[in-house]
Amino acid sequence: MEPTANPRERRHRYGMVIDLDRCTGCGACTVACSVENNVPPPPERSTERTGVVWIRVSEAQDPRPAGARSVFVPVPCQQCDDPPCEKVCPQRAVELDPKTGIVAQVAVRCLGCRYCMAACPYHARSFNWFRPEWPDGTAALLNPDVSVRQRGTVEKCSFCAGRLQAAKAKAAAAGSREIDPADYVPACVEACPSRAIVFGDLEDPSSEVARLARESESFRLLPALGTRPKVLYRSVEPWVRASLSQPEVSRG
Amino acid sequence: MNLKLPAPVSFAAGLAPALAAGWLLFPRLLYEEVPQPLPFSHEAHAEAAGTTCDGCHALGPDGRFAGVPRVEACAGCHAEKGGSPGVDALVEGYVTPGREVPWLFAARQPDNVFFPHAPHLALAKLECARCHGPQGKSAEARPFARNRISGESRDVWGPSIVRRKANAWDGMKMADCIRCHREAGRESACLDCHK
Amino acid sequence: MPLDLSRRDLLLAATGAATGAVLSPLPWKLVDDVAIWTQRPATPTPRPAGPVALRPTTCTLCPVACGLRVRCFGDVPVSVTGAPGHPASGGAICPLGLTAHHLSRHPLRARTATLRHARGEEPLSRDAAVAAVGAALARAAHAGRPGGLLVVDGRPGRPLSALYRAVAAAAGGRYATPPRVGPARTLAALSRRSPEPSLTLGVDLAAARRVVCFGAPLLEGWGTPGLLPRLRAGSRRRPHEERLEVVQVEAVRSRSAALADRWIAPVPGSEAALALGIARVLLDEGLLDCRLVESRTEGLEGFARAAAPFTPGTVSSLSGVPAATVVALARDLAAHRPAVVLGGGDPAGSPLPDETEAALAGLNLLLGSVGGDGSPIVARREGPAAPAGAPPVELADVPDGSVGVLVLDGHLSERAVPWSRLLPLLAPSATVVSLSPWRGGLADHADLHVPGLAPLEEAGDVPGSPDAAAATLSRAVALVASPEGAVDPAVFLKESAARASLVLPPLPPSAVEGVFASRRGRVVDGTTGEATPVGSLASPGALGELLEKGGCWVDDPAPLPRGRLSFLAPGETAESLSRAALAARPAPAAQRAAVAREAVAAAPPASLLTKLTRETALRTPPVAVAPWRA
Repeated sequence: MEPTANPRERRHRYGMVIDLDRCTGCGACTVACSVENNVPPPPERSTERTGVVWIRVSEAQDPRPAGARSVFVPVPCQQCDDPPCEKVCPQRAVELDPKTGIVAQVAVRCLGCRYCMAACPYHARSFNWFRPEWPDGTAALLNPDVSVRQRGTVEKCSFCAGRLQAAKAKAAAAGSREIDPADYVPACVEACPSRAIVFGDLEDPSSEVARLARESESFRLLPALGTRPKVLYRSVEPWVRASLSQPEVSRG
Repeated sequence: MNLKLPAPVSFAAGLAPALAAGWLLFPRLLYEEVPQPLPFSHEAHAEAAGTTCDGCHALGPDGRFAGVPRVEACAGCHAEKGGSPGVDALVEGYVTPGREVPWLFAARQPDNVFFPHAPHLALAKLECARCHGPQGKSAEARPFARNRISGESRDVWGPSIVRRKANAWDGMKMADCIRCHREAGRESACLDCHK
Repeated sequence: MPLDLSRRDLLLAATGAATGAVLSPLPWKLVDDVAIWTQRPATPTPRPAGPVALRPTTCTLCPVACGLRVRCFGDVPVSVTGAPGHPASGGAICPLGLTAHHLSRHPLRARTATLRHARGEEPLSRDAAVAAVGAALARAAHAGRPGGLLVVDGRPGRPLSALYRAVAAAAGGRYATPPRVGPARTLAALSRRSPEPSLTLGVDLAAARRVVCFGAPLLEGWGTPGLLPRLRAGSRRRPHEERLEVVQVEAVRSRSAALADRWIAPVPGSEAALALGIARVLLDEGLLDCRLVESRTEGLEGFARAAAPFTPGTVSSLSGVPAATVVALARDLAAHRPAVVLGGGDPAGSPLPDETEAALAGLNLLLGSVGGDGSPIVARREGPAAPAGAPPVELADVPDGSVGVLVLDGHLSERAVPWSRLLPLLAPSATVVSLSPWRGGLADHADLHVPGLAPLEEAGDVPGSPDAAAATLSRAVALVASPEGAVDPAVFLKESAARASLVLPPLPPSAVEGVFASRRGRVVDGTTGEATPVGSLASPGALGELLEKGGCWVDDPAPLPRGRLSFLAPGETAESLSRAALAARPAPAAQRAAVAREAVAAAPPASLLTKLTRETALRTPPVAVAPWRA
């Protein structure tokens, strides 16, 4: 078989922009994510620190004295362009995919040392403290495109890589190396009832997500750390941008 | 006087059984043969279904491999008993009750692998036999060789215990995938194949 | 010649064996296989059970009837998403709907018919359950009233509801519907003020520029999930005057309160005073839509008399809301019409009193939120179910101790009808039958629990929310097998009625036939949003086919009937309104403290993740305290 002439694939940088003015904190993203990615339900004895969650929604309140409003901030893996978790993994179980920009977490390689959890400034990773168990026959309803992880491994958001693989397979069947963007939409984006999350290829300047990412209302979490996340947030409210993107140094 | 063994003989006395155990006995013990639920001849069916593999094992429109035909496809020809004990067993056990035949898949990858057939068939234009060997010409279904430790099929490791590749299709481990991808000059990343 | 084996020989042999082992594939292959063995998760990832397909169906969890797309591998449902073009849900579904395919395996799913008696409970076969319910129906039919049958329908308007009414009629019993809850109570209060009290109203939030919400979780997904946040965000780019803003009036800082553009926290119980205070500012400053009020309403003087005592100062002392806030809110509403005021509940989760809903309805009339062109509250026709069988009665009209056999619909929630409301209706030794698919709630009080069908197990036509701006109809398709012991309530009831030798009156034509015969409305494709007028369809079968493919029928808009809407409903007087509103004294200190505690529990301290907070000193202040709590 002769090797094909260097079929270098087009580079993508998948990312999302989350509109905090739309998010109502309903948790649909978390639920849809757990269903899509076979995240096990937390056992009774787990706490909010030991359950597994790939996209967590937190509340951030207006810090001004008279402020009563809140925004809800969904935090999935920020898919950094310079991921701190990748550097510390002794197993090379974390890999920044150069073709998609997705930070992969390969569960079967993971030792469970949790260095990556300490390194991640966004608290976006979870450790499987318990043996994953699905009640009462629901294991048959798991998504076949995402493998079930084991106890003792770390996991996190993969931008629904299983859906990307399925979209690639579909495109390949039609003879194309490029997927139809409509075929690759992460579960949280699809599930959000208020359409707060826009997903797409940041590398494609004409995409909606790239356009939103360039706007002045968009910002990243903890930009000072230089991790360059591909998950951006946006809000028209100056207080939201100020308190989330430029956190004050301790006020004592 | 008593016979004293020369050192090489003592050494060989340990070496030989160990080599025999490692090379001959161990591969036999490691795999157990699980018979297929029904006898099946690709050769016999090739005439009825056409000579290409995708007559029965087709890619779906979503690029997923349809795998083995469902029992309705069998029922198309084998609606009634007769012909051979295998056909009787098929009709009695599966066609009449409408139950799927629990075939054992020798070429199945482990849980954490997403192997799409579509890019390999539609884009790389690989022959089925490149990875599966001359399955289509087999006259009877091979028994499933199951690794007693890992539970995976022997075909993943390959027939040779030292992974000597006599044919292109011997072995389906990650190293085999990567070798071929390198030859084709493709970049690979974990998420290309791992789910 | 004997062999002289020494320790040296054994050591040499052992070395040879070790060398041999290393030179054989054994250790290397063992390491590889053991490594793979350690990586095997306890639960294997299922293999695809067939080709992947998106199957359309309709959610039956709540009355909204969102369009669903269920991703199935073969026959196995794996995930649920909203139908993107569905007119009732706009592609959004709630977190519970996202797991609809798990619900039939929920731990609370009842899997077999159960008979409860003093000694405990025992499972019943389907035949025994039919016989037991049949015997109960026969007893009820024989007793007539009192001691007769009462069927309480959790969701009127379904095909099953027609059967309930037929069974109730055949057994000489009653058919009751639960009281409406949430913002629907405000709509019901407005209906009572219309020239046709049977008029049904719906709310079209897209038409409003100001939404004032008294306690309902509007921004958390009341009605269609995510609708109001979508509308509000969509209007953000418009000029300031045209934007949609939400004012939440609620004592507790709920999620809706935290998300609203403004949050006003009155003392619980003073909502009516606040509403009348706003009305008084509107009247005093002449901020009415005079033409509309003059042409479409009557009884303004009476309402003005009711509002007269509520000066901003009085309202402030009653509700704890500053007088300036009351005046500003009234002016803002008047300046940004169309505005709509919706009731809902108080922090205890109970509905607002009728007088408060009356005050809110009057405020809506003052603001012109009903009756004008483009008003957010619109008239709608009843759903496609044709009336037949026993006429619906309100639970309040059923005399105490008059029910010998009580049949509870599977969708009846304990929240809408608490058991304490049903218990007094029962005659001594009454039989309670529950058709709920779930254990818990009202079903636990039933003597006979015959589990019905859970969402995605049910098939049939599903009418939409009674609060929506127009009637809708879509179809549910059974995608999940129901447990062995569960029954289709329609089939089960028919069999039980036959066992009781009841002769059912003829059932009305199916909803699809009703829609087809009316020639009204259009069928909107749930995926593409393309509309097909019902008038262009050839047969009811063609309509059914469109629904089967995930379409949703939407009724045409209905005109508001001619005639005037009255500020005071029959039986209400200005004095009764203002007396009830004035009665709302500030709650005692202990109660205020209890509500404050609940408020803190409802709004946990805001922290943007423990770790993010610690590592960046991203501090958040303590929970804001409502003024009246200070």
